[in-house]
Amino acid sequence: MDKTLYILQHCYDSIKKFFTTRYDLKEYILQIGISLLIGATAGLGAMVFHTLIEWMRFAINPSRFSRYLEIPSFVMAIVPVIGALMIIGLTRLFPQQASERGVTSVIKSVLLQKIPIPLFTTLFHLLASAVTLGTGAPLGPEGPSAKIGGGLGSYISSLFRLNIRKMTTYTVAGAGAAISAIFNAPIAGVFFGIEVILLNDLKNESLSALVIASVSADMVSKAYLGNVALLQIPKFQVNTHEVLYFILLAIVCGVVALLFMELSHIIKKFYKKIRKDDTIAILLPLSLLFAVAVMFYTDIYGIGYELINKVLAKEFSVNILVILFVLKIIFIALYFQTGAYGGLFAPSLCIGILVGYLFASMLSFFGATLDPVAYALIGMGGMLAGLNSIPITAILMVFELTNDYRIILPVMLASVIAHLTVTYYNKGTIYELELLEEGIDVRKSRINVLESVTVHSIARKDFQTINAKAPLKFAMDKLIEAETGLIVVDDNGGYTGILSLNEVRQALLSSDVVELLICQDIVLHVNPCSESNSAAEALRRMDEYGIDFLPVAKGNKVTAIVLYRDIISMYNKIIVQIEEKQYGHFGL
Amino acid sequence: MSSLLEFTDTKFIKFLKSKNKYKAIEELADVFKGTDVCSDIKAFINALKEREEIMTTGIGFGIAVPHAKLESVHKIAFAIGISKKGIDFNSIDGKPVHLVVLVAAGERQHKEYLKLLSKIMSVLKNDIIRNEMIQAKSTKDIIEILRNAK
Repeated sequence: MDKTLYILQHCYDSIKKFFTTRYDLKEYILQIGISLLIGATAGLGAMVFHTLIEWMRFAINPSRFSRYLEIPSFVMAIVPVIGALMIIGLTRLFPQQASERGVTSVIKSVLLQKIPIPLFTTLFHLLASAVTLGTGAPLGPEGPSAKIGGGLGSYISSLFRLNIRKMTTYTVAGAGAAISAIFNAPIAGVFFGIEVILLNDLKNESLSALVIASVSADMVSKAYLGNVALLQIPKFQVNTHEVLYFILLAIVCGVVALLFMELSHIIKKFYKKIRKDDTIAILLPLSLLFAVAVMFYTDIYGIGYELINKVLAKEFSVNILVILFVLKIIFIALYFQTGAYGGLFAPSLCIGILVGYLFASMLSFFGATLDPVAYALIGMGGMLAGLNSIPITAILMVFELTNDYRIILPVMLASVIAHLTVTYYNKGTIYELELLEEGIDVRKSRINVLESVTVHSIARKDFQTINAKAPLKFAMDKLIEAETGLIVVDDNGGYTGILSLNEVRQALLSSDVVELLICQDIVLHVNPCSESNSAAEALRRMDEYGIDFLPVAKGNKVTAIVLYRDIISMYNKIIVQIEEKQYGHFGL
Repeated sequence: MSSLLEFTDTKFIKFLKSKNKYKAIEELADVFKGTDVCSDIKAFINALKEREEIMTTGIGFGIAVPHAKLESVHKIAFAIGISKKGIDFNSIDGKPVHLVVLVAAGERQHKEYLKLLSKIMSVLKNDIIRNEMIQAKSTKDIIEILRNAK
């Protein structure tokens, strides 16, 4: 007994010694453990989300109600309207939590290290997205899943008191893991994380955590859902000699993706014009319109998996498919731009299936004998890649959904060509362009921290003006007092340009020149910025003119100025904050 | 700063007939017509006149330096106008102007513009040079005076 105790004690001491001396190993093991935990939690979160959507979808599905309860379908078409009212209510009740939505918000959290994401925000998005998708909105679950997974990853990291660098790693891992779970596609989940959230940064340290978490999440998903495939794929035939048709379909997918983006852009501008920052309110009239459309074409209701299965089962005529395609595209864009809680991943699968199927069917009118199921699957990959700028994820997603190697080659071709068509035209991915609209340019190698600082936050209200007609000698005293420079205005106080010490230095070389000049003669016509511009944009303009301050204007009136040195000081402050967050305050 | 001669030409020197300052500006600005200095002489003349209305460029000692920066000016340059009879420029010393130096610069030629004005002023401050220019008989004489000016 004593001997056994001695051996056990010795083993414990040896293990303890091993772990206390090998810090790096301890850290690696801990990383694997946390990744597994985050993956499992994100997987669970995704399953709760999935169950909620499915429950709502089956409980209040218009066609189901009309079939079993003998309620006419037009009565149940009101479901999206009830959903819209609930979403508007939730958004009004929790405006702060509602403000950051979708995949872009996860990318922003990671890039700008706005972490940890509060647990309540994650739970809010779980509920709001389940209501949106469960009541028939034609959007997808991947944006909310990434938000839920990323939020859970960030929350668990904060429970372990990890530093901000590691929190970022596990936020990415959680987002990718949730995607893996929701689509039951672990490899696609990993590449979604790389292509979308890490913006193709393969050297990122989040990669290993992302892979482990995705595997873990998929195990949870498989344990819960079993090996049930998301889509029912009938038998299909792929003929490699049809390569020209594959390329043609890829280009069609790219063009349709571009048209969709253009339509979305027009709708966004229209929404902003009528409701400015309250576009979610548009959801109510939109849901009424959608309800009318659902009365006639029930298949446009919901995420679109059922529609995909029906298309693949060849249940529709070409005429109906054209109508469904048009309605789907219009309503997806209309819903997406209101800011409803849903993504474009699943909708692009649906659009892709319709495009591919229609492509093959229409070519058959001209004598080509193409298998519409195969082309629908290729179209699915092409559209997924084109619309979401995720060529690798698209290839792997189609493979994981079909489990058929034969489809890989044409899908590779379609995904890459459709992606190139879109990025060639747009000069950036849909996520990059969306972030750019918010003043965050991620197309450069490194994110500029100043993109997230608004001019408003650093602008100074104390500035001096001078009339453009004033003699320069009168401006000199004011210039010396003004520290940086003067704002030159016309007789009505309208902005004309600036006068800085740097600019008039040359004039000071000769006192006779000072006598000769008025302010208008040496005014620098600088394009002012607005309060909503980023500090990075202000800095770019100052560099362009070689000046050390920039006017901030509203209309033609200057409201403030922003100084070069204030921007630099803010930059230093942010860098110090980031460094402190990464290495300073937290242990591990 | 390079020599003043780099910014002018014999074609840009004129003995003025006008007695009115606005007419004189028009007459002198016309020397840039058909050259690569300015592509919109009308706009340039308007800018010079508008500037003159705000504050006179007649700085005394018989000199006026009308000047304007304009988008349509592609090359920084100056023209010299000599009026034997003198022009009423509402100069700060009330005396008539005998020497008009008209400066044209592009919208973004800020530093070059100030340097040129400064150089012109330092040359014209010299009484001997100034009087030699006013007494000059030909454009060649003016160029020679500028060549010798330091």
